[in-house]
Amino acid sequence: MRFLILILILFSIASTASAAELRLESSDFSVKTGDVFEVFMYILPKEERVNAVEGLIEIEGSSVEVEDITMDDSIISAWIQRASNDSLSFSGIVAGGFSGVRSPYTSKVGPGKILTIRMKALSPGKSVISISDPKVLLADGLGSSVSNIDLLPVEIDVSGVDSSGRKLSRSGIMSLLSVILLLWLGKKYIS
Amino acid sequence: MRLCFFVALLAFCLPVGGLAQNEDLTVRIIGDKACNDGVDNDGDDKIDFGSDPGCESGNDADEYNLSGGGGGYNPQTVTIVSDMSGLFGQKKDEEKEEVPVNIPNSVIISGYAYPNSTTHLLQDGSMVLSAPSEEDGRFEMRLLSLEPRVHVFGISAVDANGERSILQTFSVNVEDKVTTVIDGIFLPPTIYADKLEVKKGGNINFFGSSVPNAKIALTLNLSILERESIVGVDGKWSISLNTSSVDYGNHIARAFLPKSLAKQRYSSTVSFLVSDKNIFASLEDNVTKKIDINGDGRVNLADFSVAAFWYQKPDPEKGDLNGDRIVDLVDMSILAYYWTG
Repeated sequence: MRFLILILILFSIASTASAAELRLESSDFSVKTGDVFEVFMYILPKEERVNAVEGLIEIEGSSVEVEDITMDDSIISAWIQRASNDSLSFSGIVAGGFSGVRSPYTSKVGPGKILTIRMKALSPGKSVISISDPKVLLADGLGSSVSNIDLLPVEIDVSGVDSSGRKLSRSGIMSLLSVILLLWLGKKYIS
Repeated sequence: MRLCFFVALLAFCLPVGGLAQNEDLTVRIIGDKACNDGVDNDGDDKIDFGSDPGCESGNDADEYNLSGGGGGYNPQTVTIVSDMSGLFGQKKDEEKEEVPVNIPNSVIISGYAYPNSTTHLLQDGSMVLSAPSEEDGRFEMRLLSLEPRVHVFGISAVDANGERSILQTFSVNVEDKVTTVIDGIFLPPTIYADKLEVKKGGNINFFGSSVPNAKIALTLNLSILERESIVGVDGKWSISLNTSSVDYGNHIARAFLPKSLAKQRYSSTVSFLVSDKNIFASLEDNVTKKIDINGDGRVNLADFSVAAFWYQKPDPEKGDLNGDRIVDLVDMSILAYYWTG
């Protein structure tokens, strides 16, 4: 019983702390070799207004590469460090602060876009794009840190068929050759 | 009994984890899409022409039910602000709104500032419009020909002493071919202290401007003081604090609107020292001017540029706003907080 009380107390403390979500979303979860697609980075503050954000974009796996990073439609008003092909670090501020995007006729707020990463699928395989060393600051005039940042990475699955549907990956070719060999052996054995 | 305790505790914990709803702005649209947009615009669980009785045709500009015999909007169903009654000392009469004319791709922004003050509107970080507020502090501004996308708007007001309020910002998804109406904005109060240093046991007076008839209160070192005051019809307020029970040393105070649901209703901070003597302050001794790095009376991209130059460099000459001998993200956050555009 004491354990339960402790859990509830800890839960209540955690739930009153400031929080924000940094989320990556892809325009396509499954892409083919040669495809160009976009990954969007969003921020959603929870309960509190925020006004500064920084972090580092990390790409795990070699099946994709960054073509370009754009700040179109970003909620960031001034960039301290713009992420680019050379450096994937980013930091910027929102003048006056940001508490979510409002839309007509709903009290719920949506996330705000920070940046867009334009990527190219190079070879078959899986890649995970994530944010490391994140920092989000509250718009409280003191620069207090948001204590709890939820990070939502995105996984990209690159398949071997290119956008025209003609090429196969190396493993795909091997699979096809194996099937042909088995059919040939089977035919020879039966005859 | 124990079960009840745990259920109550859980109920106390759960709502905190919800989506950010820390402001009571209302955002709505007026235009020619409502009865043909696949959205329940009036919240009656009925969507568009054929289902919603408020739609006379697919071209009807809103889903609100028509008033008896009349065409167009029923003003009774177009509520604008939900929680205003709690904000004022005296309950305001229910407002009867005239429905604005739809000018496609325009935005109307309205709310309350200080009486007869000048309000400034920033769009995506740049100042685009200034307008006077009325005697009761009400202001309204309209922007035309906006690109349909998410825009960041900021509002600030300048009080009678020339001090700007904290910028209040909101990001809004502006839709195509309609008028987007954003209402329910209340600008935070301004604050001054009459002393930089106060003799222990003596009084220090705080004063400033806010929305007429609103309840106003103070925080001392982030703790809320119990006393409240009502803002005068001229928008001016004052609260006196006796320092008998205040420790020697530095303190900071802020004014805020205690009945407000919004988090960004705090003024900027004023600091004072409790000591063995009185040193009176002038109106120039306020925080914004200390944040104004290049001294041009504004906090904007020019100040950001100076701070960015000294970013992460050793022994910065400028831009170190919190005095920790380095310009980092914390200083940039403080700059963004006091941004005037």
